[in-house]
Amino acid sequence: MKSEKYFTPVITLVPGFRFGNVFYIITIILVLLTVVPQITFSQNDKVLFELSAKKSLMGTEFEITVVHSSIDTGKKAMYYALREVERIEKVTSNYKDTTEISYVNRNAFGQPVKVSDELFNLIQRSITYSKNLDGLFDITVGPLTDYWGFNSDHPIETEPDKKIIDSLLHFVNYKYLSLDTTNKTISFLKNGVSIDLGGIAKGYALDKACDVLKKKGVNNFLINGGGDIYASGLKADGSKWKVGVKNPRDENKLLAVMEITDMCVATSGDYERYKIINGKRYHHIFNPHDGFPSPFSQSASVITQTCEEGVVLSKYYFIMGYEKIRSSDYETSYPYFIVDSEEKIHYNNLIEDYKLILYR
Amino acid sequence: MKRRSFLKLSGLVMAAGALTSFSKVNAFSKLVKGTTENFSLEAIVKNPDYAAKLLEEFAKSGNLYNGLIKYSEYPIIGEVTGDLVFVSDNRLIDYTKSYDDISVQLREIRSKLSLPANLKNPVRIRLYKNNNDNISKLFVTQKGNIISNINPSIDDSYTYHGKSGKVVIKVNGGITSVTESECKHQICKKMNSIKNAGDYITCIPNELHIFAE
Repeated sequence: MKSEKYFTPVITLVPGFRFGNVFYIITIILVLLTVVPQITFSQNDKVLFELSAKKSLMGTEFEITVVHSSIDTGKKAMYYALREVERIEKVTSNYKDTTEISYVNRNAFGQPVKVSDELFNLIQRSITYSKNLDGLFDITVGPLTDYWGFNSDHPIETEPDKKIIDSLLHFVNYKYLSLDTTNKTISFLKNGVSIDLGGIAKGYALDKACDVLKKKGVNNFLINGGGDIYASGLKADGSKWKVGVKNPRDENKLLAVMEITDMCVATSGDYERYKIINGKRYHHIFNPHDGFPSPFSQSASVITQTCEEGVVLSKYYFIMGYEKIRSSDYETSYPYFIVDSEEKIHYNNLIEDYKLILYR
Repeated sequence: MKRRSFLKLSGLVMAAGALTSFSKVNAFSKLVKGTTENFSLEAIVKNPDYAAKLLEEFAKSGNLYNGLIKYSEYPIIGEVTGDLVFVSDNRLIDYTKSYDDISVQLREIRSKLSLPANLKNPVRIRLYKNNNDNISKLFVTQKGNIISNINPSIDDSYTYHGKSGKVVIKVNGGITSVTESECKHQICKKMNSIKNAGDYITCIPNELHIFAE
């Protein structure tokens, strides 16, 4: 009988409960204050795990950091995200003979080559970027990238030959690509044309990896593909991710830090792949119009919603340089941060929304 | 319900709650003697998924730290002694002889993982929290496997070989850097030196990764 009395308080208490009875209210609050933290403590919802994984893919280092309450979920999500990048590398890499794009480059002159929907759509979007960016982004730079060799194990060793470069420019123009949207085929209109997706594939792969992470139940993560970074959700303490901009002439130092969530910070820099020949720096971001490394910037970072857009636009901002960007519509289109060839820093008002902190 | 009965019941519930809280804090304090500025719970095992599950349950039971815990996992090449090791505030905690809750739980985990044991090509998993940047361990991995464990406090040079040739790592005054590499782009030489826990250097052509904990 005693136990019945003790363990049925809620049922017996409610009918007799009077709102004016301060004693009951205070006692219930005290009980709740004592007991609820214990229940919370035992469940320990606040324990979160930070996991990282990295892998060399697409000629660079992909690194993922996730914050999740389950180690297993985090591990699996990272594993599948890196596998997705690996899969895309097998479609888009020029440096493996077995990839789909290599097959296209070998066979597409004069005859339509059927390709996967994924590759077709990627090339189609690349052409749209080329049109919108006045040809300063162009995936037909294959002959030029081969000549400079920055993406291979054999970068150029001697002064570049302008005559050779001029001759290669005859094969560089996105208009030499013919796409059949009905049959999903691609053909080259000129012999010697070669597609290089290096300027877009990494961004696309980052976006796809983000999709995989989210589908696997991970929403708070940072993914870095060779300096292009997507920050999703928040850090464990509820704050936004902090993304730094490197000093192009001293990679050990940061020039600035921004707070990012659900956005990509993509950076093109002349410090990533370069060769100094007779005191002059030749780097891998060249202007498709003249075939030479663009001389106006040391680095250009843009903040965009997708990494694909980010990697394309950061090259465009880099090649254009600050002076041309400031007098174009792109001054107010995207948050940007440019270090010009004289190491001067330029950024627009839009980037201040990301709590930009300058370190010099 | 009468006021007296209600008071009795409330008192009992509060006392139970307070005692539960006290016993947990007390047991933990006994083991790690108060502070949890830094800790590391490390297992070298053959079955990392199962081990991670057990360590996660242990962490979530409120025994480690109520916040962000870092997790790392690396395969080890060769034959090593697998075990479960708990370090708190740089002190090795001997959980094998105590009878508090946490020691008992750690012994259970150790037993479920069939540790200690000599293991060939096992996996090292680790839950940890570092509140300072001091380097306690320096590892070299190749193709994702730990191939070397370097003492960061001894100045020395170490040579490794990969697909593109030789890579020389130098530890000098607590700072680790790549001083020679036969890879084409030499990015590993240009990367930051390792000065703090969490720093790393990667040589992509040689598939070498050097990182500090």
